[in-house]
Amino acid sequence: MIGATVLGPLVRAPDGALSFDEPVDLLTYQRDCSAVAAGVATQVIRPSEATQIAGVLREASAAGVPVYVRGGGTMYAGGVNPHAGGLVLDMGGLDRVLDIDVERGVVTVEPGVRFGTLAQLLTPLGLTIGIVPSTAPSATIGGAAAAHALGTGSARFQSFADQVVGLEVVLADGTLLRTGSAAARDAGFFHRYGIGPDLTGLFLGGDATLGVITKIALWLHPLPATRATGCYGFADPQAAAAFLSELQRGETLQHVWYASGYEAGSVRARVTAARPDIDPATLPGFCLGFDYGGEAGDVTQARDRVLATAQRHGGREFPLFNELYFDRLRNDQIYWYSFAGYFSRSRCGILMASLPTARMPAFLSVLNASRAAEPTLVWGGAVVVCRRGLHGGVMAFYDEATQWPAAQAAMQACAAALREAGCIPYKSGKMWASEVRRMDSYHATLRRIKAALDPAGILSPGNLGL
Amino acid sequence: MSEGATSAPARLGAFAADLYHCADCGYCVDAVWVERGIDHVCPTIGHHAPIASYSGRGFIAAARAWVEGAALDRDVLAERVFACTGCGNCEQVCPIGLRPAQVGAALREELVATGHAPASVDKLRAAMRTHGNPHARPAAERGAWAGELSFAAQDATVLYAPGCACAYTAPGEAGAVVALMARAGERVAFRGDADRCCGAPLGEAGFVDDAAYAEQRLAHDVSAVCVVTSGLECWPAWHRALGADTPVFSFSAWLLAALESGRLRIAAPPSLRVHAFDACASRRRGAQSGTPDPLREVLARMGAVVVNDARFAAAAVCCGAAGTMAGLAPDSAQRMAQARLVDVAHADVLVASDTRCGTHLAAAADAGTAPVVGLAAFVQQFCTIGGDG
Ligand SMILES: Cc1cc2nc3c(=O)[nH]c(=O)nc-3n(C[C@H](O)[C@H](O)[C@H](O)COP(=O)(O)OP(=O)(O)OC[C@H]3O[C@@H](n4cnc5c(N)ncnc54)[C@H](O)[C@@H]3O)c2cc1C
Ligand code: SF4
Ligand code: SF4
Repeated sequence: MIGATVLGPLVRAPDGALSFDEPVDLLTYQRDCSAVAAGVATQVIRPSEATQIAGVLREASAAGVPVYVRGGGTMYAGGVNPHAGGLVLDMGGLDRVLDIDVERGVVTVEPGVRFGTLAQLLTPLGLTIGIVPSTAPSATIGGAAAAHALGTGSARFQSFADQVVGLEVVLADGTLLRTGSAAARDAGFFHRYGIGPDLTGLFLGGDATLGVITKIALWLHPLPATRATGCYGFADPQAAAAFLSELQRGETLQHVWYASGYEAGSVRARVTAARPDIDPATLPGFCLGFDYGGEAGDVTQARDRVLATAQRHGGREFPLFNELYFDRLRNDQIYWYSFAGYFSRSRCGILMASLPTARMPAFLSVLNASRAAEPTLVWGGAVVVCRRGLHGGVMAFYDEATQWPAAQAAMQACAAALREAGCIPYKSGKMWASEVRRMDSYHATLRRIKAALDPAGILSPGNLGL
Repeated sequence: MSEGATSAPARLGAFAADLYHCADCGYCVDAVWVERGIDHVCPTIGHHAPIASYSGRGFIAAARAWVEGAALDRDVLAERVFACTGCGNCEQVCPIGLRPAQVGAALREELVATGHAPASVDKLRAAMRTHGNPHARPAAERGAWAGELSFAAQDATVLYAPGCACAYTAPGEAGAVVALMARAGERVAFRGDADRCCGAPLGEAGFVDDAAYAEQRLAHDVSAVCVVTSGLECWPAWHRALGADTPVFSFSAWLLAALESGRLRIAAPPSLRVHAFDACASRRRGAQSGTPDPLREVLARMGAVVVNDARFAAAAVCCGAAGTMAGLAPDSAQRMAQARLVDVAHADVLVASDTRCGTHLAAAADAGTAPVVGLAAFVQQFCTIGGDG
């Protein structure tokens, strides 16, 4: 942790925007939730209008001042950490829900709106935006778009990016770009594709390297009328992976709003913390939790199909895990309970990787190897089930006073091992930057796009290895 | 004034685990947690300044920087941490159980100890030293509310300690408390002009030595069978001063016991729709002491129709009356109160059991807002009290 000295503002604060440069205030803009090194900004600007951002970016481009963009700061990849110094745009001031168009089925918001705020408005209307991360109380819609959120809804809809109808983005030269149908003057947001290449996708997962998102339009979906949870235990991850592949191939996840899987160590930790009387040897080697949603009949049918499929792969119902953990997780949205509450009261480094379902055993082998290589950290792992494939998270809990270097080294080693095992970065930020750089033509093309859109290289230097 | 590295501030040392384990998740700053009824966590962030240095997360970051010897402007830091109301909402939401509000309190103590209390906070201590109350009102007027009421000179069953806010700003509530206690058969004592502040506001402001001295004086001067107070913040100070053998109750806790035992009986329930004011202090004290302020239980026992959702009581956001906010930034404190009054629209009356909240809310209410009344005044004005009392 560094106490910065006052250097004075780097760019003029636009009229109506809050700007500050007191070191005491800059302390909370040094990093996100990740185990990525902090950075020190010299100025923070909290705009409330897109035009203010355009002015800031124009000036910053001319002066070569790095600009980082912060939403809720809940990412675990260091995207908001101002490595190169400069200024941070705090998007919390753009927090208006602009339009809920029930007829078109589209909601349009500013990027600083929190998932929780949007849920307050949509739930009474019986609506949802489909994909909601477990950090919903604090995470912003803009951060989710720029960092590829997943979570509730992924089993049905895949990724947050798939829910985006269109964007408004401010480019480094101050240009205000609208994508999707809204590219046509006065057309508004109602279709993502149709005009040619999908420019929307350029900024989704972009980690603020190509532009600053100032408006997001999302599809609306009906909230499921009925919900129910259930857990299934398997002898090992191989059986669980085969089970999941079959469900995904058969489109059986239509009425599953969330599903996640837990490796043996995490299952043991959760169960024995609450029930020390249970012999860990009797617990399954892998467990999957399902949160079903839909009309009552659909939910019953989906549960029957999932159970029958599980049984074909040697699985059985595991109600204890549902009672002790999964049902609670789903009803209270306590994301930390999923790991920290059971392991330690500390920070944790998280590496999120995408993988084909069949690769799940390999993913878990990397987790176990990391655990063995650095036993001083507390390791955990989970997978989030998507409509196709999986996202796997490896977590390493550490005490920052004593284990910071060990945690950083272990995460880097784990990232490399995951890639070797065929798991690719999901949510890059800076955490996976070195791995993204190895993706030859992909990264080279990304660099060319970056050079075209942000020739001075002011936008989030370091993110995505750019 | 910037100050460089000094010896590690002792009070912050106790929080090392918090300083190094904070996950920077921001829940304690501005989270909207629908499942828990939490609508923007930190009132200071919502109504004073939307900068995280004013929140629990900011306090942890600043405390860590201070411990590590970073050069921070202590006066600037003081403006941040004294704007905290101490409501404790940040600790309520922290997903990993850290203590950001207590880190804030420790920072205030360090800043006071190193001479960096803001002017309004220094004024509060001066008022306490000169007048014995934070309102800078003459000590001789403290008992004025008691007027012609008669008190037990001996064999009192309960000593009534209204608290400074009640004694000076809500005389009607204090009078109603005494009347109800007498009706229930209590022999009520009051210390008259000898009554003085328990030191709680000094403790909130970081003047720990002054607060400890005030408690020592209570311990020395007061002997009672039982104490009832209208100040939720006074409760722990009295409790510490008199020790575990002397029961100390908030008025609402006393009232619940009187209703349960039949010493007071409500013959006809109030016909109004009531907004029960869930005070942050009630939750905080409840969590610390196991003796919560049972306002909702009292209203339920009286048969009152309470219109606001009980599920959200645990996430009550401060109305701006607590801590040093009202002195430091009265406009922000007023905005906090107005925010708490927004959802009172569906009620005929707002009932507050803590007088400091009640007075502060009443001052912020406009003509269209339902009237704000203290719990005792509510019982007196709107309930028919039955026979045996
Ligand atoms: C314990 C834990 C659990 C988590 N669980 C989940 C989960 O279930 N699902 C999930 O998807 N994620 C999860 N996350 C990660 C994170 O919470 C989400 O991805 C969240 O959506 C990020 O939003 P944010 O507002 O906090 O983004 P930030 O951290 O503020 O930003 C993320 C990235 O987006 C960029 N950015 C932010 N706003 C803009 C903008 N307006 N324009 C351009 N770029 C911008 C930032 O520069 C940064 O690179 C978890 C994190 C933690 C610590
Ligand atoms: S105690 Fe209340 S006012 Fe103070 S930082 Fe925590 S939430 Fe904010
Ligand atoms: S809620 Fe807890 S972990 Fe999160 S930022 Fe606040 S103190 Fe840190």
